Amino acid sequence: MSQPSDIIQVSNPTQTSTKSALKGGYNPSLGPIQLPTSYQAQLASTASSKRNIYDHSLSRRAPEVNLSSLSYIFNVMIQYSQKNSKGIQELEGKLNTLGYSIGPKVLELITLREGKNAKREIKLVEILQFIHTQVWRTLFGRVADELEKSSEADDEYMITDKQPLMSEFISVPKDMGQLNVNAFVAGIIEGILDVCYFQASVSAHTVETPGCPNRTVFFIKFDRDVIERENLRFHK
Amino acid sequence: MTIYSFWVFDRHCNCIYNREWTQVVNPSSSTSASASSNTPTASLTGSINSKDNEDTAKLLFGTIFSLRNISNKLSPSSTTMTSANSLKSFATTNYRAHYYETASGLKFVAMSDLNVKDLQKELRFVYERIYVDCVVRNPLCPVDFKHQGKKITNGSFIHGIDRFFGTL
Amino acid sequence: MAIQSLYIINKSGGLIYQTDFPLPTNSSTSTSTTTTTTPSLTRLTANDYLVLAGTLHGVFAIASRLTPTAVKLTKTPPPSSNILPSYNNSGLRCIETEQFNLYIYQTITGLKFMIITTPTVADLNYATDVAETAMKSCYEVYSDYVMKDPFYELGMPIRGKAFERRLWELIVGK
Repeated sequence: MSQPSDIIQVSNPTQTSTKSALKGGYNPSLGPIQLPTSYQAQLASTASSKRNIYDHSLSRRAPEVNLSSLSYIFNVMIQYSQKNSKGIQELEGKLNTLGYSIGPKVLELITLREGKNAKREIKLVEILQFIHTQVWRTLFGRVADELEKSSEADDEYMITDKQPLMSEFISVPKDMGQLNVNAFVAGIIEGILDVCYFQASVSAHTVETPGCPNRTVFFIKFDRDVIERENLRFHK
Repeated sequence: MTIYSFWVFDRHCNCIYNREWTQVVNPSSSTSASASSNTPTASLTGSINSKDNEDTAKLLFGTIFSLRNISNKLSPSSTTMTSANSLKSFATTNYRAHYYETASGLKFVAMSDLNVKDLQKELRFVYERIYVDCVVRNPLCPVDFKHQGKKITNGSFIHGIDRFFGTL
Repeated sequence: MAIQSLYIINKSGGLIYQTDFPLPTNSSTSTSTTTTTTPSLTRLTANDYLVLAGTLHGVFAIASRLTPTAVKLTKTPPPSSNILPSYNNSGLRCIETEQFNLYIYQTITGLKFMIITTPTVADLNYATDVAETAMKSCYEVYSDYVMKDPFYELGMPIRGKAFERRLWELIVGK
């Protein structure tokens, strides 16, 4: 019974010189071989040249997705939503819902990547700035163009993107008038705001300017309680 | 510079002459061809007024006819009627077909390889010097080919064509 | 050689896009004595364009049947080393008329791009290559701004503004 283990002990000193020949698992002449954990780690490191996408760290700084793949999957999302909705409003609502579920997850990823610098935003303006810069940079590789406060109401803010990535290739037909497919992105913003306890409704509107036919304004309207809380906390 | 074939269509849309020069492929005929004529320019094999080319002639005429219509339709001056836009040539990856039309509605087509850029002058020469001389001025040769299938069988015309394209 | 017009024909011969471009105003024409102001092409009715596209679609195929016997016997496929070769092995490629030239580019999917240019003074084979390069660029714009548009139905006329805008940037803007 102890024979196989003896053989291993005998053969081990000779085989250490040619480690690559020794593999864990079942060897017909030797029987089952259990390699020490330190050795397994060594084997794994030699095989590391074949790293696949799952081995990459989440903190990798320039995570890029093929724009075509993104466009095609977004296409399918729009077509699917369009098939199941009766009007423009419903379609935008569906896209918004799709984006909403992404919001909290993106927030989690960004704060993880921020590492030590991450902080929980509690001021309204700061969370908007966070969306305007960090979120935009993670999602689209650049900062959004403008961040404005409405002059009419204290609960309305606007983030402007002159050339939104998601609608770069998309031409909205005339009969769909006011549709802006960036409702999806608006949903993401809404999701982030919501999970940070800044309840708001976000919508996307096309506001064309010369040279920027796709310019989109994300209109953010906060809930009344959020504004009141803000006033109580910081504007005494 | 290679000329593959030459076609004449009359104003009744019939092919009245076709001449295809084929390269010699099977060795038996190649020996006979080289034996019959030693000068390279004269070693012209192929077919004259072949019945097999009837269908090709129809296709060619259809192509020419369609393209001519298109070029007239799109022509900037088609509304003013100063001068109709004339088709000069069309090309595929394999050959280029040159086209020349006379005022009387005769159509001359020559197919060549892609390196031949322009055969307008040559086709005009064929009309002026060979067709007019050998067909129009020949009292024994019919000028109007009303019946389908009638071809120019005039020996001097055939010779003239072969000699002329042989020198190109 | 200026591009006057672009046509896109789908694989079943239907015209899905047609546009005319304004001719570049040549600054040197004021000095030159021969004022060869090539007028733009005649505008046809929408129906006429459809007929025209269908005709060319047919003629394209017929032209390959007309390949001379001599070529068929010694045929070697032309080497294509470029990234987006024209999948037009024997079909119509170039039409030369007195007032304009027409070039056809076919993609592997059977889509045809056609441009009409002003007559060229350069070598015709060279001009064909230049025209094909231009059409390849149009193909790229097509695959971006038409194929990635969720509101476009395959094989239907292209109405997207984004495509039109990029195309004009490409042809007129440069």
